[in-house]
Amino acid sequence: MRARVALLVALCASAAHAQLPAPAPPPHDSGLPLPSYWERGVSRPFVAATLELGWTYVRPEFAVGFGRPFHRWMGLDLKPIVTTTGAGFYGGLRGSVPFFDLRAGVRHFEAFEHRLLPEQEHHGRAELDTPRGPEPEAYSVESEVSGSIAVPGGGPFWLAGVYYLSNVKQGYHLYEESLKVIVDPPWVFRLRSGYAWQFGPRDALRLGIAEEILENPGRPGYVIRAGVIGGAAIGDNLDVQLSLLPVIHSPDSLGLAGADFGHLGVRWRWATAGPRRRRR
Amino acid sequence: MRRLCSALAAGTASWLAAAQPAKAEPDSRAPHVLFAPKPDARPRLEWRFRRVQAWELYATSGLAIAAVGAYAAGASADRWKGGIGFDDGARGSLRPASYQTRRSARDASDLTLALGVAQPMLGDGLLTSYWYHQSPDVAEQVLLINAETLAITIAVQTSVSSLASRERPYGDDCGAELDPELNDCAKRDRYRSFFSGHAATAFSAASVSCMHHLHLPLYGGGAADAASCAAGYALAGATSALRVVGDMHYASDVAVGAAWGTLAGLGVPWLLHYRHPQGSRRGAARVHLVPHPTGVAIGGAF
Repeated sequence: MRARVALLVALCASAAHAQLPAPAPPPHDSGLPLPSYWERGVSRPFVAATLELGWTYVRPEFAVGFGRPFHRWMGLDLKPIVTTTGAGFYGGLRGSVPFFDLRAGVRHFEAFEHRLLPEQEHHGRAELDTPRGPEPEAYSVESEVSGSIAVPGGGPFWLAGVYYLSNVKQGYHLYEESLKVIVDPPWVFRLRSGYAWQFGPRDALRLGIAEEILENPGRPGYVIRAGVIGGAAIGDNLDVQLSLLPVIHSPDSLGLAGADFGHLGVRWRWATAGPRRRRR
Repeated sequence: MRRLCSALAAGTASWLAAAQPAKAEPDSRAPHVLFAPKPDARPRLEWRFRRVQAWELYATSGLAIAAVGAYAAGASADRWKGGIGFDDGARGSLRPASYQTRRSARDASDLTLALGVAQPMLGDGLLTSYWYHQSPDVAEQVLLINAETLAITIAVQTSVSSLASRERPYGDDCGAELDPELNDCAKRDRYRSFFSGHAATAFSAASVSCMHHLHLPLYGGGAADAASCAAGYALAGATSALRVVGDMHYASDVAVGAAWGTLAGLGVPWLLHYRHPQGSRRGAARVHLVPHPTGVAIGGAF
């Protein structure tokens, strides 16, 4: 079964990559509190891995730390990012306790298709799709803090992020591939909040609404997105994820390139010395 | 009359007996979850058809590699340009005037395609079979059949689009309304109009999902499964129409893509699996490699 699933994963990934350009997934989780068996077990040194396979991205993630992985832990977080539109990495520190998560690190992304854009008040999609400016070689020093409040039947969640973009040539704007927004570096601020309802057999299904606002002091106006997020815990370490937040308001007209279509796929999680599985 | 009634009663009784769900036995490969539905709350789902064979896995891998290879090989410029038959009329009436609107239609087609492929993969395979019915065996077969169906669909599409090298409709506007440095104009993807990969993949995904719902009571059988099937085709139809609105394809590209996707999506699962109920003498499909003086021949019995 494992070999077949691995083959299937490889096939789907290759087939999907042959078809469509892939957006770089955002550096955060969907913000939903996931029911998890990871809270069981004991605190220990561990190595953990997450593999997200979705439309159309493959995003592995590795963590080395101490505690109960994916539940209450602190350590190093490493994420290589490979899509058909570019490649990069993220590395940083992360600490997590129930309903609260903090991370800080550095991210770099080499875009294959997009270039730096000359400074102007409004950018359109055709401009973004025309590779005329210098190649972006930006680094992002960033920090995100997120949390949720568990109440019966669901609960609110939130995320706040600060990003400092460096190594961008003077006089140009940058299309930030993870945040999906055109910015005048260096500072970008982000705030997301929402509410997710849990339902279905034993509350394994989740569906919610979310909105987020991005502020870039160098440019006029805000970017506001709002949409749906959802998920299903289909196994101890396997879940299905969905998030789509189209743009409601922006100084630019980027279409789907400006939306947060972060997840449509599955996430599998693994860690050394994981908790014992419950026999039914 | 009495004989007819007793025959009907016997038939109904035997049909009802056959329709009774098999006694649920724990599957050792069922997902170990804290939040699974109650085991007795759902109908038992069992795989009663020919299973995916090893040679199909090899063939699927080969097709996936062929698809990537055909895509990487690229397409040639100036091989085939312009519309045929109803193409120009359809383009004239569906194409919006602004690039921004056409780009939005393309984005929307990407989104509907993603949802369409998620239906057999995430919906039928993982959520319904694996999680709701707690049947890893059925989930495995459903996912592998999806993979082989989509692999053959995409391998043929990428090969044909490379060979045909038809220029996309917007090619007319490159250097005029559109900047010649625009990615769409500058890249070889401009010459992959025939036939539509979005339409083929969307209809293939809708069709293979329909085949699953026709043969497995994923939603309990009946109207719910039929509705899922209809929703899949509606999504595929929307995807195809948006490709013409987005000026990425002529109507003929989309029509051929939809036809090929439907054929592959219905034909592959039926020929290799669903027409071979377990225990049937027809169940064993065989493929032979035969050495030949000038190479190797492949033959099979289905």
